Amino acid sequence: MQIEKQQKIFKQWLNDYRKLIFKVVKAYAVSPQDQDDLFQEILIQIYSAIANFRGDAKETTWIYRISLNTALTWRRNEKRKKFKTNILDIQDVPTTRNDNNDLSQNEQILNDVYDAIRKLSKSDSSIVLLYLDGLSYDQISEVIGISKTNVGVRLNRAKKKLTQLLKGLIDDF
Amino acid sequence: MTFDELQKNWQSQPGNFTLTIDSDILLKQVERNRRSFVSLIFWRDFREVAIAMIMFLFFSYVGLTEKLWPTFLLALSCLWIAGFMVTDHLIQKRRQPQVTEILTDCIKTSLYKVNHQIWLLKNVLWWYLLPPGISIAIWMGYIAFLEVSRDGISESIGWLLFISGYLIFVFFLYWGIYCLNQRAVRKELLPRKQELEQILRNLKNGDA
Repeated sequence: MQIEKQQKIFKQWLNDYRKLIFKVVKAYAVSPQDQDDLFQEILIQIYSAIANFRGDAKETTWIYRISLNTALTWRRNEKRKKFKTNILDIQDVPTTRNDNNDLSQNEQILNDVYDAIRKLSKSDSSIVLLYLDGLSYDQISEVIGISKTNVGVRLNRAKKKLTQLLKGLIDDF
Repeated sequence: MTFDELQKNWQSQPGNFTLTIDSDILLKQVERNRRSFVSLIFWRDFREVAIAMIMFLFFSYVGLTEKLWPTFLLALSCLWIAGFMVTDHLIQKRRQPQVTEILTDCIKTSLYKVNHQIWLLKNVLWWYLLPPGISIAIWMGYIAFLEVSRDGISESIGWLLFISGYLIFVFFLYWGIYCLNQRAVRKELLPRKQELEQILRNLKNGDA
């Protein structure tokens, strides 16, 4: 693939999917530094993988796959950090309850949900993320590589755990 | 709130971050980061192989000019280390985790990589420490033998003490290197392995 085409696709994807990537980042990294590091790591992986994109899978599935694979295998790496300068300006990072006093109720709920997702196992949190973003069982199965039935089973369990973690907020179970 | 409502809420969440640089500069930075890391890894591996090869050439030269056959053992042990590292690097290059794989496959490949690192460090004695260690011991023993044959034991006491001290130093140095490697296995790699196995088990649970 030509470098110009690769760059063009990267910029387009960055524009279209930055929020999607950031949701994954926020679910797996807590501090702003770590979020910045993971965000850049995912961008590097996406950029490197563009040449392999054949269009067999949907762009969203592809981006999710790269983002989750990177997040799940990501570890803080001081050697890599020295090459990076911060690129993210994160306005609300939930550290303590007091920090969120001025946030709207909706943002408060989302922050609680992120906190709860981080408390799930990494495999459960990946399924929950995909579910919350509205992916079908087929799509989740395609990203993760488990059967559709297992997606259902695992998601059900994860939802129960999430309900327990978000007591008073979710009343589905 | 139901899960359906939570889903709607989740999908409508605003991007609560901004990128501090525009996409052109970011693209350049991503490219630069990728190149820098690839180059860092390349030069780290290259440096170790290059040092082993330089030592191989040096010991071969000394062996030829001084007619000391144990020096060739040192040269061969350096060649063995360089050859082992290059071969291992080439074999492992084919098994790098691909982020475009499905999640379970990517975790499996990462697990394979961690297991291989554990194997390398656990066996560091056999492929990295012992070959030059034995060569150094034989080389020192041979020098001691030459000295004693030429000047007798009483005249060579100084030499023998120096050689014994050097061998003890090498032993403790190697022991330190070995312990550091085993510590890295215990503190970093085994927890990482357990973490990846746990993720894989959780994902696979129910699919068997």
